[in-house]
Amino acid sequence: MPIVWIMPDGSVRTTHIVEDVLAHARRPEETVEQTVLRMATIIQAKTPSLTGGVAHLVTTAEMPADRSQRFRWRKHPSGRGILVDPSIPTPPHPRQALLNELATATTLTDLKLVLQKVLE
Amino acid sequence: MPARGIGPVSVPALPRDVGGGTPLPHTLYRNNVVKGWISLTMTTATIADSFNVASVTDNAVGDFTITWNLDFASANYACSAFGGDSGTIAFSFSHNGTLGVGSIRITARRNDTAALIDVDPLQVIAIGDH
Repeated sequence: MPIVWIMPDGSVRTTHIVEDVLAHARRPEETVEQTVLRMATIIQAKTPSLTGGVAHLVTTAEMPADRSQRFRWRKHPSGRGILVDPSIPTPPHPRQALLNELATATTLTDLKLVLQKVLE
Repeated sequence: MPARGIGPVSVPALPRDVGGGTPLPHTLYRNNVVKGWISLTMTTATIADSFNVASVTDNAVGDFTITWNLDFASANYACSAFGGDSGTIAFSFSHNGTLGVGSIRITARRNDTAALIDVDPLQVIAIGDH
């Protein structure tokens, strides 16, 4: 049962607990969901990348299988599961500035400068 | 239950190196034992097997955080990542500057475009003081 973290910017992170660890952590009086949520608090405290996230439980079936648009994953309006939000813009390429320079290059000198930046 | 961990981890009582002296050959010390490892399929966030790992967090494509079950004593531990090669794409790993006693965030990037990429499997080992 993955934990879905809704981050302050609306993006989604998912945590998967190791099965053996989950089984060992489970207390007799707890449901699996209660154990996962209790562990979510512990994991969040140990994991800076989850700071500010709000935990929700989902089933694997409620998550997109296709990761090609992972950056568009958002919480489903119903509160259950994850959807792919097509309104989320594609993030810039890591080397977008260089690509822009290449697109605007008009002379051999311009192209040499771009190539030099790639090689240095 | 260990003070810093989520569940029990059995670590044998091994001697430390003595005063920075030369280690004996073929000898286990507390600080040369692997304290955590994992084999993970990033594309499905599936953990094939692991030791001392509580959970993995999928932050984004090519961006995962491994949360240790029993924390390290400090952030001065060593970690190595390795991954499956598609045969056509070269990539490299970094810990993204967020190595912590309780977790480590690892990113995999293509060497040609610098874009984040899922690598299957991602294999990580960590050695340090508990």
